[in-house]
Amino acid sequence: MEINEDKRNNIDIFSLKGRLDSNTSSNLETKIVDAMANGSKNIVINFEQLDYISSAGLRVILKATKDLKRTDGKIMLCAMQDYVKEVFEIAGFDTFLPIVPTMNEAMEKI
Amino acid sequence: MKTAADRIDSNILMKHEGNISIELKNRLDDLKKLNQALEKLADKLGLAPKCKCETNLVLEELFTNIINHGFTDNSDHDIDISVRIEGDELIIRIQDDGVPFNPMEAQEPDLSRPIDKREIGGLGIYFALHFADNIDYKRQGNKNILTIRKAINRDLETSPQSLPVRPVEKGAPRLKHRKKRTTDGNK
Repeated sequence: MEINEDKRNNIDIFSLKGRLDSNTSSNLETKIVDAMANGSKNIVINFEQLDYISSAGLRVILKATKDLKRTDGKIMLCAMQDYVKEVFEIAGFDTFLPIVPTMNEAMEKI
Repeated sequence: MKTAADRIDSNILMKHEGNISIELKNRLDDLKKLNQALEKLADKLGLAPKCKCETNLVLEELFTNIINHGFTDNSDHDIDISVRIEGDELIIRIQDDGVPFNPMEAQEPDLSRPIDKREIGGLGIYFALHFADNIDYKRQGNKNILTIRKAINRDLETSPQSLPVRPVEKGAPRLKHRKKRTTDGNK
């Protein structure tokens, strides 16, 4: 998995490419933990080029959401492919995670 | 030109069209071998991306569950996976010598809990049961044997053959023998 990091208007943007699975999820976890340690409170995760996710990937997203909530931070998830979105929905995560169709919407709503 | 999927590990054996045998050990790194083998199979069969991802998810969740919970010692164990085609279905068999574990008897996660109370435990098996069309478990000697059936959906545009295409079935879960979650009011 490739993770592209960007920062705009005090928002940390992580763009994921490839697979967020049991082997790669710890890379994203480390990057989010590091960003939060550096004071990041607003995180957007762009799923546009993410082809695959498993429960290990959901675990990292859930943990990041909980951690940000604790520090009054915010998270937005955007541009998921159908398969990835379905995995979030089946887990029931779409009921408490802000998932929006586009990057622009994520940047506006955060 | 050789693709990444062609540079496959020697312990993944392509027997004949669609039938493969993957010999793995109980280590997370071997998930890559499993993914490579599936990638190659998906290319060969012209699987639709969604069908490929779903099959990959079922296998990742069952494989990592065996690695994380199957063994009480620190030794290497074999986890053997075979895939064959039967009609328009993939028949996948996973065999391990870990502690007895029937995924159909696993506790279902409570999907209605609020975020603060949501845990990730149990979600992997839940996904496997959801995305497989059928899972059969048996204990034979000291082995767990899982047989998973998954309908083949081909990508119409890239499919190399004019084999019958099965429409995507909507609705879930498709397993009829799911054990009902036992509700515990004290939790």
